[in-house]
Amino acid sequence: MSLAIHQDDADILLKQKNILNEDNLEKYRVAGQITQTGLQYLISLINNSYHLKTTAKISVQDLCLLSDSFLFKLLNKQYVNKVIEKGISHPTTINVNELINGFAPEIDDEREFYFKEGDVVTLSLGVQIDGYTSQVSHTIVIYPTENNKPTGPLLGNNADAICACHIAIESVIALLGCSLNPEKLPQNLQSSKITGSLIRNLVDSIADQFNCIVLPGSKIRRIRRFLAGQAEGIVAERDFKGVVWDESHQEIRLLKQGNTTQDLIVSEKPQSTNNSSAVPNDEFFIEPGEVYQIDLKMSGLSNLNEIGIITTDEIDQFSGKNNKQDFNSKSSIFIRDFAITHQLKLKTARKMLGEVDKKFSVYPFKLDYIGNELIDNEKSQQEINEQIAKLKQSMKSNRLGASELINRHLIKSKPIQITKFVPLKEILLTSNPTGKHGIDLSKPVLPGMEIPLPNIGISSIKLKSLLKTGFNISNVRESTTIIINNNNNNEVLRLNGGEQTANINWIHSNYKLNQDLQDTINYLIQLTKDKRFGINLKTINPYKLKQQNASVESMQID
Amino acid sequence: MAGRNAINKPKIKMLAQSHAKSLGKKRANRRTIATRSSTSRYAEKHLTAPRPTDSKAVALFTGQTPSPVSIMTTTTLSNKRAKKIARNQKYLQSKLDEDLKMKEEDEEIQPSKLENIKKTLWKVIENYEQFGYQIKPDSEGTTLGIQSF
Repeated sequence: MSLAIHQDDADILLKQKNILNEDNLEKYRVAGQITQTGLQYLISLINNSYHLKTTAKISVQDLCLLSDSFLFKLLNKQYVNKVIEKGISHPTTINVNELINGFAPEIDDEREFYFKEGDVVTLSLGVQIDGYTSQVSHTIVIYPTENNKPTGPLLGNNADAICACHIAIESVIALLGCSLNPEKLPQNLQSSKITGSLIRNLVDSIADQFNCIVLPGSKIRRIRRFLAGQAEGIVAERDFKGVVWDESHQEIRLLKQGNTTQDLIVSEKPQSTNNSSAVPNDEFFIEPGEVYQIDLKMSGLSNLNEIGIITTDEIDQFSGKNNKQDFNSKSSIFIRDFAITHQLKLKTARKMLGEVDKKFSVYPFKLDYIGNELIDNEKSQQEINEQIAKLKQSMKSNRLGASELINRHLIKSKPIQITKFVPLKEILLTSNPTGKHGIDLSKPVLPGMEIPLPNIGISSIKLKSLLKTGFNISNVRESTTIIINNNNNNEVLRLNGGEQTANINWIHSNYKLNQDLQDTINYLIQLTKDKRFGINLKTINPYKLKQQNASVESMQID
Repeated sequence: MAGRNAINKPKIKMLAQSHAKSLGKKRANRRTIATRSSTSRYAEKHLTAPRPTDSKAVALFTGQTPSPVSIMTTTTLSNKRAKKIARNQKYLQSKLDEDLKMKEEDEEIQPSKLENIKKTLWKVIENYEQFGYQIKPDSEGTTLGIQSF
């Protein structure tokens, strides 16, 4: 279903509002600054409690709440009464090891979620101001410590993945930045324009060199005002532009590995649907004046002794559904589906829907946010603890309202996903008489990518049934938002991430880039270091803040 | 008329009346053909009113052999219809045989694309079991970051 909008309005909303003038750039910039500060705050919370041990261990649910409240606090200080909508575009999620998406436990979750040494923890958060969105993800490592320092670098498959992810992100930023000066593209890429397939090849070859897999759900995509991929799988977006990875690309990778003698005609293109501009394909050019979200998730294979496909599995609250799943959790992030209207019976539900429509609009939210004053991070540590205890009490009525909204499909919950490795043997040996018919509706996928393994003819339902033969595999993720600004001084604006906030983890990988690729990547990275002869890359800095444990003592907002 | 709990209630008369009434109902049911509910929700499928989409054929060939348990039926097949069914079955059988033969011939010439793909993937597994991953670890490796948080 699509909403009827007059062509003139559509032009204003989709074209004019996305032109990077000074106003819009400033909104992006402020959004970037808030995410940077939020990430810095969250990382220092984790460092204080797990590495430096100046505070007691903070649980994952407290970390999520503290981070979200901090983001709201920063948002409240900016664009007061100047924009209609601003808020969190991606509630803080903290995905540990095999968790990949959507894990942000609610504050009244009684279970003890703490990190262990050696965990890889992915922090993701995002904010929007007037629909201009900045989203960041960064994976940190929980180290064993000695004298307030890590005892050694991280080794093994996670180290490979972190290494590959970091190098891939940095080189893709440089590659996208080259769209401002295409003549500076490395010669051995043999291309004068930056296409989707060029980006895919670069990322794939980096991942291959480190024996990693680019996980399903990774994407490098253009974002526009209010269209930052926050409702993927719920709303199809027209004119989608970007490179997307899913299981089918792993299948193609394996087929290319084995295809030595005979010529297989492998279909790389996703199936077309009736709304074909919503189907992602690699045939596009990066153009200056666009904003891109670079979001890469990877898993290292070095500790496995099998060939297989890595896919995602949804976690829910029902235990005993599949006999081996020992971790259950309710999804806690919801998003409004504006295509549906319904006359609600419960008063709490009506009140909640009104608030959701007004406060969060098309962006996801958590029940913690509704009707409550969130934590005031500028208070003392003890007061913060009292506030958290108070907030736990008020969750019940929210949950009652939310259940009716979910039952009427007015809001949809975003699934919690984990990564699973399914051995290829099991996939090949399974009987599959019905072929590739059958779509797993609970899995949010982009249009045209409904069949995970189109060449072997395995549908998503079939793959789901094969998950029981697989096992969990940990993943890492890095993501950042960049603006290719061609306005006055041709610069690439990196809204978040970078060395200052997203510190590079201390890792050692047993793999190394081969010489050709090493040269290309060195060249690309050098471009970003040199303002005059390369690309003018600017990274947004966070606000300066003084912080003691969870409480922020002073903040300098410019 | 006496009340329900009255002492002089004509109990026998009332019972007799209701008895006669129910007997009469049964008799009437036997005599008339009851109207059928048109929705299969309230009656079994074969009892519901025929829908315009239902087949009007006396015996329809569905490709299935009759169930081994013989069921007594009152429907009669005309001689002509029985001959027709037998003839159709003969044609169908010969067509199926021919299809099967043609399929086998096709397969002899070319294995299907799916089989090729599966063969390739098995080869990948075999290669891995023999030689391990195509990418080999390097003695030097790559180190990132510094000793800090």
